[in-house]
Amino acid sequence: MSDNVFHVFSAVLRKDLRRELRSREIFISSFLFSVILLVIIFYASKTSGVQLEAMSSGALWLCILFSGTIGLNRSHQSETANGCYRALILAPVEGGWLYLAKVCSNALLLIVMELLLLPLLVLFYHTDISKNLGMLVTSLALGTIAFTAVGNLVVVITANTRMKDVLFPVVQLPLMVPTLIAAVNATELALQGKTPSNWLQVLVAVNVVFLSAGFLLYDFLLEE
Amino acid sequence: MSLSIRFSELSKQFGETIALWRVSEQLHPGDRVSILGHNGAGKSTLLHILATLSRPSSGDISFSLDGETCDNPKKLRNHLTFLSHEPMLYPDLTAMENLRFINRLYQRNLSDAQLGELLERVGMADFAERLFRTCSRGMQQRLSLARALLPQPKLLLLDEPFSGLDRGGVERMKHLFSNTEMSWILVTHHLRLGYELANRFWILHRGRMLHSLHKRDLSYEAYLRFCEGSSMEEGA
Repeated sequence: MSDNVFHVFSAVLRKDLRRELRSREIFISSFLFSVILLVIIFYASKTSGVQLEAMSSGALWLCILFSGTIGLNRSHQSETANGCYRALILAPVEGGWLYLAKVCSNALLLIVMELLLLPLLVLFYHTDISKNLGMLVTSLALGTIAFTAVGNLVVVITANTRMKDVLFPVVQLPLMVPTLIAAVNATELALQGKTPSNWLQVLVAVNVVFLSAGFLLYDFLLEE
Repeated sequence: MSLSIRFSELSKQFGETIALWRVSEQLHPGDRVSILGHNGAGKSTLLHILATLSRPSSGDISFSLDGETCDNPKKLRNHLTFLSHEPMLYPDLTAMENLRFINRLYQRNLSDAQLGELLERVGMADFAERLFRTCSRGMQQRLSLARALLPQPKLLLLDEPFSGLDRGGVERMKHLFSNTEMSWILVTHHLRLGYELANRFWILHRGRMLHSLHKRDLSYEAYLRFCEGSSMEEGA
C-alpha cells in the first residue's frame, strides 16, 4: 500500500470516526435499538419456554442486522446531506479505497456495539462467552466486515433511485443471507466452545467476493 | 501547468428529457466564462459533465494538461474543483477539520498555518474552530470557497457561488475571482457580476449552445437582453 493510498484511507476513516465520536448519533440509535430487541427476544423466549442460551447467537445477529442497517443508512445520509459524496467523487483518489475506508469505519462502530452487547447476552441469556473467546471474536469480526461490505455496496447502488429508502433493505437482505447463515452458525459453535472452521471459510469467501466487487465497482457506482 | 478543454457534439439525456443537445466549445487557459440561460437551459448539466461528475450521453470531450491529452479523470480532478450551492463539507466537523480532511484527500500537505491563511482569504479566520453546522448560510458558502481553492486548481467550476453571501462576501469573492490566474466557468443569477468578471460568454437555450461570445463582442445591454430571454427566443 503506497503512502498516498494510506493517506486517503486514513483520512476517510479518521473523518468518519471523529464525526461519530462527536455526534454519536449512529452509535446511540443502533445500540438502543439492539438493547430493546434483545429484551423483546428474551421475554418472548422466556414465556414460550425456549432454552435461552440456545437463542443467544440468533438474537445477537438479529441485533447486528437491524441496528447495522439503521447505522449504514444513517451513515450514507450524512454523506449525501451536504453533497459531501460529491467532494469524495471529485477528489483525485481511487473510489475503491474510499469504499474500504467506509467499510472499516462502519465495521469498527458495529464491533464496539457488539462488545457492549456481549455482557447483556451473559446477563439475559446466561450465555458463557468464555468457552472459545478467540473464535467468538473472529466470527463476529468476519461476519461484521461481510455485513458492512455488502451494505456499503448496496447503499450506493440504491442511492440514485427514487425509492432508495425502501429499496435498500429489499436489495440488501437477500444478499445478506449467506453472511447471516454463516455468521449465526459460526457464533453458535464458538459459544459452544467449538471451532467453526467451515463457517469461517464461508465468511472469508463472502468477504473476498464483496470487498473485491466493492473495490472495483465503487468508482463506477458513485458516478451520477 | 495549464488545463484546456474541447468538447464537441456533447449531448445529455435523462430518460426522454434532453438536457444538452450537440453542444460544442473550447476552454483555453485563462478563460473566464459566464454561462447564460434560463432555468433548464442545461447550464448545471454542462458544469457537471465538465467536472467529470457525469458522463455525456453522446459526443466527445477532451482535456489537455500542458498541451498533452489527459483522459484519466483522477489526474484531471487534481486540477479542477467545483463550487456549487451544496457546500460539500461535513456538518459535524469544524471549519479547520473540514479543510484538513480536504487537504489529506488531495494530498496537498498544507500546514495548519497555510490552511489558516486560506480561511483568512475567505474571511473565516475567526471561525476556524466552529462546527460547520453552526455556521450561517453565508459562512458555509465562504468555507465552501476555501474548500474549492485549497487544491490550487487550474479550473474552477462555479454554480451559483454567490448564493447566501452578504455584500462583504460577494466583494471578497469578486476580488478572488478577478485576481487569479486560474480559469473558471460561472453560472450565476447575479447578472452584473456575471458580466463584470467574465471575458467570455456561453449562451445556452433549451440545451443548445446559441452563442459563444467574447466580451468585446457583447455590450452590457445586449448581455442583459440575453439574460432577460428576449434575444434567446429570437436566436432560437
